[in-house]
Amino acid sequence: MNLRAWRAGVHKEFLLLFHDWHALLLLFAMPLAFLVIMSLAMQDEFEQRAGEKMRVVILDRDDSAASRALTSALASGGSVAVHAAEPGTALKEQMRAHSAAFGIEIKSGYGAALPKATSPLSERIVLTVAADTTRQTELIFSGTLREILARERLSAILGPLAVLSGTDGFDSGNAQPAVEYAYQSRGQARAPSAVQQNVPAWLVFGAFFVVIPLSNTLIRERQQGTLKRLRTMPVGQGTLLMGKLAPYFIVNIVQVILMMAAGMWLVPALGGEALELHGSPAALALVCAAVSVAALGYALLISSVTRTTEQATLLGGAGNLILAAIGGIMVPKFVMPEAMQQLTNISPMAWGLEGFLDVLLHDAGTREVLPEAAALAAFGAAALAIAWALLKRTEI
Amino acid sequence: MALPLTASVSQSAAIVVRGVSYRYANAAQLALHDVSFEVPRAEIFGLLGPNGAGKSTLLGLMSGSLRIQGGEISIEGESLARRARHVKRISAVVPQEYAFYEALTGRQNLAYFGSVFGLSRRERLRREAAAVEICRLQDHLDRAAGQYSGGLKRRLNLAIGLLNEPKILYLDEPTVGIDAESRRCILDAVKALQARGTTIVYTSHYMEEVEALCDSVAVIDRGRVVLHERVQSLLRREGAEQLQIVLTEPDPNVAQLLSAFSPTHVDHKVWSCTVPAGRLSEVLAELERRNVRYERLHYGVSRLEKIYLDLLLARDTEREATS
Repeated sequence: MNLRAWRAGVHKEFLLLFHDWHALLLLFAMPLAFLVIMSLAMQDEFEQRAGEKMRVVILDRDDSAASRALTSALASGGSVAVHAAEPGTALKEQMRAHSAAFGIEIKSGYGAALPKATSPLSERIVLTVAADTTRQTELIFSGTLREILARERLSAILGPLAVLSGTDGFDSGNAQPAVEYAYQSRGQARAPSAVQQNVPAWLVFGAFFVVIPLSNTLIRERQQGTLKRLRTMPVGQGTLLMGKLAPYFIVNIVQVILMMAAGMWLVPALGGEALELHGSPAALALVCAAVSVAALGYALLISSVTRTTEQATLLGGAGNLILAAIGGIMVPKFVMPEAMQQLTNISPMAWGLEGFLDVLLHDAGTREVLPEAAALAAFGAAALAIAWALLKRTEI
Repeated sequence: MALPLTASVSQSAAIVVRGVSYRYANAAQLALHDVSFEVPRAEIFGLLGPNGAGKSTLLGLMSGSLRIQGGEISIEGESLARRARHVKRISAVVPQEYAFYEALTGRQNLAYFGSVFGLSRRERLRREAAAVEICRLQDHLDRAAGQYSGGLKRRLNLAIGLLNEPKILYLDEPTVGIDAESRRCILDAVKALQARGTTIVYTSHYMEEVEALCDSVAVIDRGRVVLHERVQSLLRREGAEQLQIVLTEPDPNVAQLLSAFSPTHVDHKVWSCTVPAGRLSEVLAELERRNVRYERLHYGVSRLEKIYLDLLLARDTEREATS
C-alpha cells in the first residue's frame, strides 16, 4: 500500500467531512438527540420493567394487628411500595403527593370483621384508583388485594390450627415463582433501563448513518470525474478505499465515546437515569469495532450500487430505518411479540445492540461478545468484498 | 472524404495505438472499432470528433482508467496492459470535468493529488510550486476551489495534471467555457509543456485552437478513425484554390462580387469560395476597386473547421446513401 497516498486520503476525507455540516449533524447530533429524547420519554416504561414498585397509599383508620398485618402483607409481595397516609389529610391528596397508583382506606372495625366469614370486607376496605392507572394494572392489583384479604381472613380463622400443627402460619415467601425474561438470551439477565437500552441502540443507529456522507462523497467523486482522474494515477483501489474508510472508522469511535458520555452525564443532568458501565473495556472496544466494520461495509455497498446522491441517501437512509425498526433500535426487543423478536436476528443493528447490552447488562467479556462481533465482522467483510468487486468493474 | 491513415510505426513514437476496440458493458455496439495511430514524441496531437464519437473512451483507454479489451497501447515504449502502474506514473489526464474537490482550497487539492503520487513532502512542494506558476494560480490558492471562476477551475484542473511532471499529457477540452485570459494562460502552458518535451493529446471542439496548437490530428467518427494527418499538410492539400476573406464589417458588395464562385459565408463577415489560380488577381482587383475592407485574406490554405465539417457531412451522406 502507498502509505503517503493513504495518509493523504485520510486527511482529505476529514477535510471534506469537516466542511459538511449536514453530515456532522447527521452523524453526531441526530443520534444524540434520539438518545436523550428516548431515554427521558421511555423512562417510566423502563422503570416499571426495571423493578420500580407500584406506589400505594394506605389510610389505616382501624390501627389493629389485623390492619397492620394487611399492610405488611401488601409490602412483602415485593411489587408494592406502601406509604402510610398522614392522619387528617384526604386520601386522594396523599395519592397525588406520592404519585400513587392506588389508595386503600382500612376502616375502623376491619380487625374485628376479619375472622367473621359472613361479614363482607367491602364495608371495611375501600380501594381508590388513580386517574392515570391503566385498567390492566387496576385489575391485577385488585385481584392481588382480594387474594391477600382472603389469605388474611383464612389465616385469622385457621390461625389456631396452624399453631396446633406446629407451623407459624402461611409463609407467602415460599410461594414465589422463579422469574425469567423471555427476551434475554442468557437467562441471568435483568431488564435494561431506559438509558441502558437507548445508548447502545442509538449509538448503533448513528454508526450506520456513515452511509450518507460516505456514499455521497464517493458518488460525487464519480460524477465530478475525480475518481476517473484517480484511476489514471499510480495508486490502487485498496489504498483509495482504505483512505476513505479509515476516517469513518474513527468517526464511529468518536460517536461511541460521545454517546456513552451523554448517557453517563447529559441524561442524568436532564433528570434521567445515568448509564453505568459494566463489563470489560476490551469487550466494549471489540463490539464497537465490529459495529463499525459492519456499518462501513454497508455504506460502501450502498455507494457501489447507487449512481446518484439522491439514490444513495434514499436507499441508505431508508435501509437504516428498516434495519433499526426490525433490529430493536426503535422499539426495544423485549416489548416485541415472540415472532418479531426472532425477526430481529436478521438485522446487523440487532447484533450490535445485543453485543453492547451483553457488556452493559451482563458484565460480558470479550469471549461472551465474540458471537455478535464475529457476525458483524462477517457481514461487514462480505459487504466490503461485494462493493470492492462492483467498484472495480465500474466503467467511469 | 476519408483520407488515408499513416501506416508506419516510428521508433520515436510516444504513443502507439494498435487495433484497439472497446465495448461498454451492456452496449450493443462497439464504442471503438479497430483504432490505430501513433503520436510522435513532444508533439501536440489533436483528437477530434463529434460528441459520442469515442474520444473520451479512447482517452480513458490510453490513460488507464478503462481496461483494454482488444488491441494494444504502448506509451513511451511500455505496454499499458503489462506496465500500467509505470505508465500511469509518466502520464496525466486533465479531464473535461472539474476533477477536484470543490470544498477544499486550491492548495489542499494540489497537496492531496501530489501525495497520491507518493512524493516526498519536499519534492511535492517543489512540483506544486512549478504547476502553480505555469497555471498562474499563485493568488488563489487559499480559497475554496468551489468559489473559483470557470477559468480558474480549468487552470487548477490543469495544474493538478502537471504534478507528476508527465511525459504524456491528455487534455480533454481544457478551454471549454472560460474567459479569454484563462484561455490564453492554458494555451501558453500547453505550448510551454510541448517545448519541454511533453507529448500532448488534445481534444477540443474549438477548431481554430486545434489548428493553431496541434502538429497532427485524428478525427474519430462512430468509433473509427476516419482521418489522421499532419495539420499543415492537411490544410494545404484541402485548401488548394480556396479563398477565404474575413471582413472588417459585413459588406453587401461581396456577395455580388463572388457570385460566380458559389461562395459560402458565416455572419456575412467570413466568406469562402473556390477561385481558380488564373482568376485570383481579377478577384483581388475587384475587391480593391469596390473598396471592400477586410481583416485577413487566405488563399491556398483551408481552415481545419471547414475540412472537419466537410468530412463529417460526407460521412453522413455516405451512410444515408448506403442505408
